[in-house]
Amino acid sequence: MSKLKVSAIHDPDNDNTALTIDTSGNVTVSEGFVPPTQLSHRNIIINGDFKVSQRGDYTSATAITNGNYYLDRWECVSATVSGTVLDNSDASVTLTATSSATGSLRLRQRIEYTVNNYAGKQYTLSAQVKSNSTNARLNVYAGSFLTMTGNTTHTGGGDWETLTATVTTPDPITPELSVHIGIDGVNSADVSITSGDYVQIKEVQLELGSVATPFEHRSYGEELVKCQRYFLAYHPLNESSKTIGLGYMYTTNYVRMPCRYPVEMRTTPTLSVANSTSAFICIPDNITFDTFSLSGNTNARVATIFNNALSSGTAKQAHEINSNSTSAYIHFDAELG
Amino acid sequence: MNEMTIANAQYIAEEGTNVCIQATIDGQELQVPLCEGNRHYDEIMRQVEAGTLTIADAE
Repeated sequence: MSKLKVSAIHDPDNDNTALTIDTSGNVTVSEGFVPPTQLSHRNIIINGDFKVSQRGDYTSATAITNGNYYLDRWECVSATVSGTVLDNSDASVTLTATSSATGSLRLRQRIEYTVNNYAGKQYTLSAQVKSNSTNARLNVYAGSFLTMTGNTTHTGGGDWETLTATVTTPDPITPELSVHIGIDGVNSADVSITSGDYVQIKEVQLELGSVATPFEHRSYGEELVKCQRYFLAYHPLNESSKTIGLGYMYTTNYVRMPCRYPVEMRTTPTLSVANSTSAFICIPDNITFDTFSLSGNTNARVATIFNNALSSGTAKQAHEINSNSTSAYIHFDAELG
Repeated sequence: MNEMTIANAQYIAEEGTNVCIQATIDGQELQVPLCEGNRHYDEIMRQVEAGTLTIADAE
């Protein structure tokens, strides 16, 4: 080991100061700094620290339905085994098996590869993982499960460990690019799972190159907007007597309400809406109704929702549409499938 | 693509034109736009083509 003590480094041609180091060790770059990979917006994964949960509050263990989404952008896969999902207070999520079987219990995030050039490049997936299973591991899928290098599997020792997997994506990618984290086999083969097996995951990052860099933290607002391209809680559950939007009575029994999304969604979304007695109300006519339908005018930027079976109201009149119970909700889903 | 469990699929019409499909998908009642690229629509059409799902006409 040798040590070089310098206070400045100059360029070789003009002898200008390129870099200075003060006595505290602070380094100042005089001109441009060219990193080998980007310093910001490195993380391709959305909601890698599980801070966005528009669908609901999963701070108590919630039974998983295979293939459903709970925290934003993360599909829960519970093939042949029962399990729960828990959103922890430390920006991590825990999956716990509640039955014993041969299968897998994992999170999957699909990446929108069609609008970004992810083909034919080297990427590194990393995550902090805690588990009591020696089958807690990473996998990456891009038409087939990719060959990985790195520390891809947990020891099962119950402590936090950094798992990494470096892969090279095919060119072209089809039909899916996705990362998988959980109790799972090599190439996502089924493994033996015992009730009580768990995997806790945080700081999931997928980035260009062969090195796992420190997790890139983003603000809640930034992360929320990224998530809303794929799922939007236009009106969340458990908020009664709140304004949802401005609608109008097309005819005396026919209300329509345009809903403009905060960001363009990935595709024309599916509507999931309350169907509950008097969940919504039109003001000032004070007509209550149970649900909405999705109009054909809907696209990836704006939806129109309607109910054409109301009791009589005032035609051609604008209405404030409010929630009228805690059961009211309006969700738009444009997730990848 | 996941195999979805789909039941009670029916077109919804607005002023005589089909505008979406209402269906129970994996236990959730959803209204699915008639749009390729929407994962629910794509899976409904896949199951219709496979002969395992029928969409009822609008009321």
